[in-house]
Amino acid sequence: MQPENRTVVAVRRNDVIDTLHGLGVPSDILADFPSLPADARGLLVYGSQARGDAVAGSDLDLLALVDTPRPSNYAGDVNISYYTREQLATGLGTLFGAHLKRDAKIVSDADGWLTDALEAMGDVDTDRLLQRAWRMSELFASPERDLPKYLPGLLREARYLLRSCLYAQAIAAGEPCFSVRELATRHNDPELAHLLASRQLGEPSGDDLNEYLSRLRRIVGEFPPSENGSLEATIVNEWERPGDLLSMAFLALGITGRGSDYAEVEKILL
Amino acid sequence: MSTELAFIGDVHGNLPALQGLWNALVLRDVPHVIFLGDYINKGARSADVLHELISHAEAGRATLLAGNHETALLDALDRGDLSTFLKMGGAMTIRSYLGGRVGPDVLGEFTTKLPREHLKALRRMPLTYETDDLVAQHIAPSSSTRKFRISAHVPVGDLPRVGRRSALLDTGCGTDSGRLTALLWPTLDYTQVDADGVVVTG
Repeated sequence: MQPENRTVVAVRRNDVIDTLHGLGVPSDILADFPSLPADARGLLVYGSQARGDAVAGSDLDLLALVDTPRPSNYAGDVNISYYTREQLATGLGTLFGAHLKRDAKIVSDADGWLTDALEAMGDVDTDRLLQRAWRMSELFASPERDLPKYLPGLLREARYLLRSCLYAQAIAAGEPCFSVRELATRHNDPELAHLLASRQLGEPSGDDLNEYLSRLRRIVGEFPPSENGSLEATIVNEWERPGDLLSMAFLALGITGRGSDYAEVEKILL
Repeated sequence: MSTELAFIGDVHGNLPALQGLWNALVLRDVPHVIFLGDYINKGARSADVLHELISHAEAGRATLLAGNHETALLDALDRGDLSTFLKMGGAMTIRSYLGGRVGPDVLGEFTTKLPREHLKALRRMPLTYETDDLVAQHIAPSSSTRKFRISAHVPVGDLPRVGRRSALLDTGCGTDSGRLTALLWPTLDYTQVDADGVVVTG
């Protein structure tokens, strides 16, 4: 999006660090804080550092509002996701939007755009979300073809779906919760906190995948049978019917190539 | 000054555009056409586009250079791994050869359906076409040469960018609003068709 015809107020790194420090973010994490792009118009913190229930090793999750889309990046323990106003508006009615609305703390927002965007996020249709997750889980129904080749991508998506379904369950039960540690306690499943952490150490394993999938089945039920028989066939057969299943299959290939001659699917926001 | 050569940018599976532009060049008596690669993916007719191009090449009327999409296809076949090709939108090419739903073994089915002549033509495609005066390839050649440089690959909008020392010809063919462009040599004039293969005038 082009900047509107008024003074651009870029987010200043030093101001941000002062504010985050004031919110209780430890200095050693802030030491890794990267410089922000010149088109960053606003910044918010979400996740454990925003809720105030961070523990040693917790990441600092930030969302920067920018004019030009770009991939998220990690610097030390600082994870910054970049959203344009249009991209952020697609979070309306999603878990991500609900998560931000509930937990996020605005760090910088000279234009008031982040405040407005969070205000507009609205409620999540949890029944629909769980139904979509069930449909997407078809992707895990052809392991004999897809493993071990696509294990890293499938593992990442299984984690994403399980986490999303647990959040949706909590909302449906009237007790919203976006803390994986709190969910682990609620479900009396200590392994959950480790399984759902965004950053995973070590090589992905088939056993890990089964840990996710067995928990996911307990929430959404038995997965639908694979209509296409493999992840690659799903991509080819669904290519001209863009939807959840294609998006999931395509993203399971790995990090989507960049550059204008590469096909890209729209960002999934459950 | 009569036209000796024409150079055509990314086609990306748009058969009507290829046919429309080819016919326009035939009317202008262009003796030989250099295609700059990226014949496949994006548009729906990759298999037909390659078939047509190969017949022009076999008749001695065209030279087919390789683009990065053709290189990725060959690499996928050689390594037995479709993942990178699929990330580039290879599904459209595979669909165009299969003509219907694919079963679980995508690589196996695709390999069976890809005609041997197409594979041979893909393997024969050079990266560069060069004369005393010009150098042409899919991705822009090094600017250190004194020759005129012709390339595609990077979309430049509706119109080609033709300068004193270089020309960029990817005008988005393969998308709904993209055009296919031919640069005429040595005049550096150009002619274009729209996504339906109709010559763009004015």
